[in-house]
Amino acid sequence: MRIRKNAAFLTDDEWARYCNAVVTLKHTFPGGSSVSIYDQFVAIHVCVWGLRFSTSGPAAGVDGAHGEPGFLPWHREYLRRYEAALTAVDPTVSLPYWNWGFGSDGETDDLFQDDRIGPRGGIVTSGYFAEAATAHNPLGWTIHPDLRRFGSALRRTGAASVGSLPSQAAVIEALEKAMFSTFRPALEGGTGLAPGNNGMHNGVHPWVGGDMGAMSSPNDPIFFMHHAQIDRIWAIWQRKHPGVANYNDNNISVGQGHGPNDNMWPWDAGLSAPGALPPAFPFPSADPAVAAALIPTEAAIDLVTPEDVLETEALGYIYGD
Amino acid sequence: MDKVEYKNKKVEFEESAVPKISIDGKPTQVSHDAEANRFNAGELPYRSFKSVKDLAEAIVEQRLQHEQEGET
Repeated sequence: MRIRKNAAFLTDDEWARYCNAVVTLKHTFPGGSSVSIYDQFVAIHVCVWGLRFSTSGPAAGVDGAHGEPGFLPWHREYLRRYEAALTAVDPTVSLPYWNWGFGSDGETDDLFQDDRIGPRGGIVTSGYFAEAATAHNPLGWTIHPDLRRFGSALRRTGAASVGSLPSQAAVIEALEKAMFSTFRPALEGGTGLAPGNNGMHNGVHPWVGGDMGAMSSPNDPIFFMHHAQIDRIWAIWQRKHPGVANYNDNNISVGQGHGPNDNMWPWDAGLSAPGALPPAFPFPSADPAVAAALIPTEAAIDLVTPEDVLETEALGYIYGD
Repeated sequence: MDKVEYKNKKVEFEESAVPKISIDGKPTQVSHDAEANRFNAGELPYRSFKSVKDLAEAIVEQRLQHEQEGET
């Protein structure tokens, strides 16, 4: 059983191994592909959002991973595959979680150091994820041309509108929600929570800012540590509420991919495909139709539904405290 | 469809579970999170709104901001 650790408590050696594995994914190109394994993950996230712009297939017009119940299971499966890719590089590595909400500001500050996830507050110019070669990463970290929100270098220009991370009280309040149907909106966007929630998941993206503010947000490796915390909070909620139907408890009508037994794109045997950005899209963004060409076609038998991923233990991992 | 003018943009919107927004005659992609009873749009990642009107105004605000900044 793999244990996902609190990033604040990783040793220097664990940080080096983790960051080196991430950099390796960025510079590893599967046979016949001109797109790295890491960038394929970025493209998948752009494309699942891009189902919104599709006009054909059962998921047309539906964001397959946000704003509906599938937000949690889709990202759980996505992270599981990312972690599997990391462990193929280094079997000692597991995906650490960024303990925002519970951890102190000092713990978060410690993450944004050169020998960890790298600095924030502007374009990243040092550490493992700078565009230019550094002592930490001689290969550099360049955002794929078809997956850019801004330029080629990673940006962390935190938005002034989100001054602080979600409070511990807000996370605890979310965990007290008695039903999945109220818990998930609270965790995803702060819906139904007292002031101090700062948008929860949605707010952490602009708090980091820059590339994290777009749907190409996995360009920033902090994305995966942020979502590990989201996944962990869901796992904690599941343990706190045994016996409660932990998905789709109100049988609400949801978009394709969000029903408990719907196959979630891209693990849907090709039922749906992302659409192109509308011609009048108001700002630069990675185009899902272009990004779709960057990812391999999933095998027809590679099918995953929300019901398949409800238990982390069954997926081979737990969270350490 | 309700019609308002917001910051010199002609905004049409339908406040329903099948939301619609059109700005200066051009529709934009919006959706409804039924569990949260909130609305979101493809061009406003990681944000959601209590009403379609609020969402429409936020879209206008963001478009104006990008026009002013000439963001690249």
